[in-house]
Amino acid sequence: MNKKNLYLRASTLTIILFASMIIAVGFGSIEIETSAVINEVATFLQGNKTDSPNSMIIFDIRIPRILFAAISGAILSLTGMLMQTVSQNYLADPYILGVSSGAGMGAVFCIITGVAQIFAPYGVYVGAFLGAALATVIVVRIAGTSNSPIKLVLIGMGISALFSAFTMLEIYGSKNEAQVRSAMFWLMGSFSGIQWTMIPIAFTVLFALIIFIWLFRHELDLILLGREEAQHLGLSTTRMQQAVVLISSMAIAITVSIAGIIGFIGLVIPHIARFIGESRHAVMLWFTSLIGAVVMVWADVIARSLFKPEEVPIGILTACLGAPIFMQIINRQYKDS
Amino acid sequence: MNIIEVKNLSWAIDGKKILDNVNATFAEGKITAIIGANGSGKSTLMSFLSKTRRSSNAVYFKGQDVDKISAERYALEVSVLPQRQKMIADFRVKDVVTMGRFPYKKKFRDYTDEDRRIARKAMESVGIIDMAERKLSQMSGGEIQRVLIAKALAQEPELILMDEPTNHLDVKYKLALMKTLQAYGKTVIIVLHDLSLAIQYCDEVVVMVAGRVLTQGNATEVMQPDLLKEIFGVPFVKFEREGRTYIGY
Repeated sequence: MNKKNLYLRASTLTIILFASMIIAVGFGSIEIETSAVINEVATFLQGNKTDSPNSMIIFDIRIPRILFAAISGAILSLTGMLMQTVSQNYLADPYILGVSSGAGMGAVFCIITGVAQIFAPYGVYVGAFLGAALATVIVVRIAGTSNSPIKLVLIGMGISALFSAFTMLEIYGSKNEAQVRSAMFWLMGSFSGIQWTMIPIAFTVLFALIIFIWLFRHELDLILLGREEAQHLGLSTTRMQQAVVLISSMAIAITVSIAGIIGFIGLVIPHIARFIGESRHAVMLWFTSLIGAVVMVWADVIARSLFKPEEVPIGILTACLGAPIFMQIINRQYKDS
Repeated sequence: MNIIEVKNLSWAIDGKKILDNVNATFAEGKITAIIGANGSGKSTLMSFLSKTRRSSNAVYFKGQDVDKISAERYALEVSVLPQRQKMIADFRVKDVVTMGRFPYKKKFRDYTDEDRRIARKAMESVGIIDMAERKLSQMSGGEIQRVLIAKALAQEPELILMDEPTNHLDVKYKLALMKTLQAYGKTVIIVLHDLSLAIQYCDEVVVMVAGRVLTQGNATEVMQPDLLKEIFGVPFVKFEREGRTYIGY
């Protein structure tokens, strides 16, 4: 595919993303017509704001939520892409490898023990980061340089089971009902309660991820070609791997702290991006983040609309959609082994 | 002059000696074949030459201990074609070959037009220029092997290390590869199973038996049927046709 064609596809995706975000504002327990949304936004952009209930729903609830859905979709997809590259395994993803569960356990541990208050207001983030990093280090240590993609996945699932058990134990042992309810939310993943204050930190993480991947796009290409090949071309793969562990733990910690565990996005989106774009990271970076954002915005729309006025936690929805695709990928790629 | 030297290299795994006091020299500008039976330590020796394993004062590149040469600097002088591994990446041919220019690339920058020109030249020399836009997933094992060979050439090294590069290649491309290496004119160390190729295209040969270098020297002089029978345990014949030497079994 030539450059022009790639640019065309990327700009189409960008337009789809913005259109999706505007249309998505209308969906929810109270439906708002797209034209009304555009009117409200246009008024806002002129420096005015109406006091209508619609305006409150749009600006205080829906827009921050949709922005966060898009940002977290991009973050989870890029993290999945990084993990797939570093492990040279297209089945890797923060959820499958147990990194999200690690972050969840860390966050819940901090809340229930009260440690979170020591580092307030960042206590939950710190706990989630340490949990995510711990899970990643364990996966890397046990799976090591194993060439078996399935082994890595199975070890990840073991770690995930272990950390989820710890999280449930923490919840089970807690006497405080409010704590239990907030902890449950980490296990399922949800976008309800997203506020404007969470947007800057999430955006900063996305920005950091994009800069990192852009700076090291050629190094990541080499690693995807093969660890040994990369080393023979003078690249320190260990250092690169450590950098990826650090930045993806941070990214997962932030998304899990804010929205809980959302699975399968990081697994599935890079596959679609590779199909529509190409394998070079300079291209993958943009396709993965754009597609991730679009898919998450629509997943959230479905979560809000399916059983309204109740909403389905987003983590449950992505698992319902993603798990069959995951099995399909395994079935197709590992038929004979 | 020798470009690379191995001095008293021994290496064991779980108490089993894989390399046993190996001494060998590789002359600059020559093509040297490493031959020997399966398990004689050829690939292990290659892994020390390519700096994949630390040698602790046993391997010297241009007189310097390779352990003291950084991976970045070594990549500017030595390119390595390892035995084929499983690959999941689905890059385009031209992108893979251009990656051979990585050691020369400025940090955080893209490959330059000069890099792309050199990559094109490398693709032409192994006859894959028509496939430049194709993806690896659409190619056969032999075609991918030629892509990796082009990548090694694009690295413009002083020394090329190849571990059984003729695997996956049909006869036509085996011969083409050996001719390309001869035309390249730099030092090549190559593990070969095809003894006729070794005698026809290589200047020198290093013969390995059970982790030791049995003998080293001029390919035509060293590769005699008696010696080959001793190494491989089957009788060999050496004959000439139209000015070429062949080894059959």
